[in-house]
Amino acid sequence: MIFETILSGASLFFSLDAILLTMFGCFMGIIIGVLPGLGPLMGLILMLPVAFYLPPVTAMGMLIAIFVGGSCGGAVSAILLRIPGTPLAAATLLDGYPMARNGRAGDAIGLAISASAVGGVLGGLVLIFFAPLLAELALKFAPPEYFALAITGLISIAVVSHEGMIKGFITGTLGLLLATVGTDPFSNAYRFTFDNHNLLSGFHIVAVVVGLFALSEMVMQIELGQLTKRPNVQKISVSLRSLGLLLRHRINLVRSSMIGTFFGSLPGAGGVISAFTAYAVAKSRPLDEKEIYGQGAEGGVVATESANNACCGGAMIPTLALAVPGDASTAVLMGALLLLGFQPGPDLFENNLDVAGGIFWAYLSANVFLFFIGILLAPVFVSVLRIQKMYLVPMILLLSVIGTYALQSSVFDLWVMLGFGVIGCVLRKLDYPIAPVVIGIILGPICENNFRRSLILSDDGAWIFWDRPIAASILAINVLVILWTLISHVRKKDAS
Amino acid sequence: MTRSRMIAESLVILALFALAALVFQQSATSLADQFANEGDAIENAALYPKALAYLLIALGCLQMLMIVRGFAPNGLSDKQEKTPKIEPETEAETEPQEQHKQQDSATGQKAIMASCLFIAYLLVLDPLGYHLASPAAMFAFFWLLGVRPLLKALVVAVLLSLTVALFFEVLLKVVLPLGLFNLALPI
Repeated sequence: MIFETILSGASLFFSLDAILLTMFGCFMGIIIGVLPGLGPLMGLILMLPVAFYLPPVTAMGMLIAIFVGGSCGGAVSAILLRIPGTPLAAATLLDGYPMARNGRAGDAIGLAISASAVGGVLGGLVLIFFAPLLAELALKFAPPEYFALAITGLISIAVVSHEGMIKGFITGTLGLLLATVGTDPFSNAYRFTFDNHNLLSGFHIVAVVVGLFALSEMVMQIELGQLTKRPNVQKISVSLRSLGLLLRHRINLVRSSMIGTFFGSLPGAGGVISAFTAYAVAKSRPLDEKEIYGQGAEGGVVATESANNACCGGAMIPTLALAVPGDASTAVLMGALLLLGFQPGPDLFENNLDVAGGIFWAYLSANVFLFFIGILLAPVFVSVLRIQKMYLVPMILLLSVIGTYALQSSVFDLWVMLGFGVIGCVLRKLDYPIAPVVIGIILGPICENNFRRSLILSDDGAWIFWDRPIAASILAINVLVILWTLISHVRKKDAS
Repeated sequence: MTRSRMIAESLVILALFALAALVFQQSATSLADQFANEGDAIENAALYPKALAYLLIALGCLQMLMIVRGFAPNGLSDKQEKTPKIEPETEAETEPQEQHKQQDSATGQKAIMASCLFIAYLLVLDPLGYHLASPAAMFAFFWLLGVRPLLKALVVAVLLSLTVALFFEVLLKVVLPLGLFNLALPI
């Protein structure tokens, strides 16, 4: 099945449009990642409306390249300014910034880009190997197992929310509830539409995501101030020599990439955890005595960057194979795939093997492009850091408005976007995580379909979820995770 | 937790309860009229939203409990909690604090003004059309956020609006709002 997937996807991906747009996505992703405060998610959100005008694999190629480029771009500002462009790059500054202070900024950026690219490719190979296998296994699942899996995705995101588990559950449930607006697929009844024809097919996911993330982020950025500040950025030169430097750390590179892929494949764990874990492991096994971590060790940059980009490949495994997104970015990717007319999960591998293969090719190519574009255009990306926020904020607002409008030429969608922008601001102000809302909206229909189908199959109501061993095991693990998190929270509070 | 924060958190919980109440109200009215609030799992369109509403209420109660537990037991008011009891040693120490406060309120005001401007832009976008509303709104945004001189703000606003229009209208063939004057790029 693995080779079949790869072969069938090649014909879909290898077209001029798809390759050029994947390169463009990579370029845009790095730019958005470089800018502090923005990140791969913002890039995905802003380019999502454009994706709907493209063929499916081309669109997914562009979006995946933004995800890959954005995950790497944050390293540039972490190394040069000690401000991680994205939370993913927070661990990179530990050694990247000291390297820059030692006059090795070019080497640090070169290493970060090449480690990201190679880590991404390694993560991609794991994705290509495991996703079809996992999908094949999932073919044996019935609605109760799918429901349990969807719940797992949501619970994982809520449990690891920095803002608190209950708040994560609340926003996740809110997302699930919002997904019920519109026409009920089973009975064709209109739910919560209030006789408004714009609501017959529910809230458009793009309008919701743009409002929740992009609008609220812009308001936050204005509130943070420093709108006219232009950072002092040194000039750097990056060369292909960094690949040679990287090869000195090949064991660290492979180990960190595997750590990244593993954490990426766990819903909710994500790139930040993987980067810090890979850093800690690399620190405990330095290349030689001269390599002192925290003072500009090359191995530190290699570990964190390879881990956080390999994480992208890992995060796509449950997203594509089980339809369980690992984080908000993969949830948006999954939403895009759904809106393009494809159902992620085993169905994708059974009915649209060529699309799954095309996505694999897009992911691998995005990482190869990341290396060449990142190294060759590094001075361009560094100069992006000089853009002041007073130019950036209106630009993003305009793109948000027109992108949302372009989806259905609907002014109603703009008001939905505004409404969710307000909700996003309130939730962020009060430390409610907003990623579970999006994951809830995307997983909502899958959850409901499988929940109701399970009840139809059942002879004794909701007990079906406990009667079936796999579903019961998944749900039991979820309950244990929740209990463990609650107990450790209470213990921490008591100790403090 | 400060008193104002507790009030804000409680209002969010109340909004969640209101949302749950809306689910039950819709189930009893609109869905009942469509005969979709009873029967088995396929026919009952209210079953799943109602389950979520119950869950939301339960989570809201838990969060309310957390809020009550987290509230300062001595009942300090917001103002009391924010005011440090230790007097600043030198004048130099007070200045940055004052500056920070002024900066915070200035950026807060800017954020409110930008939000109002954004709503105004959405209001006029359809009637005026993209090619009139967007450059004007972008100019206002640039001016508000500090782009000077004004001519620069105007030029950047027009160029930005045109670039976005070229991308969407020419490349993606999207019809942007034409407005009363039916304005579009002459292509």
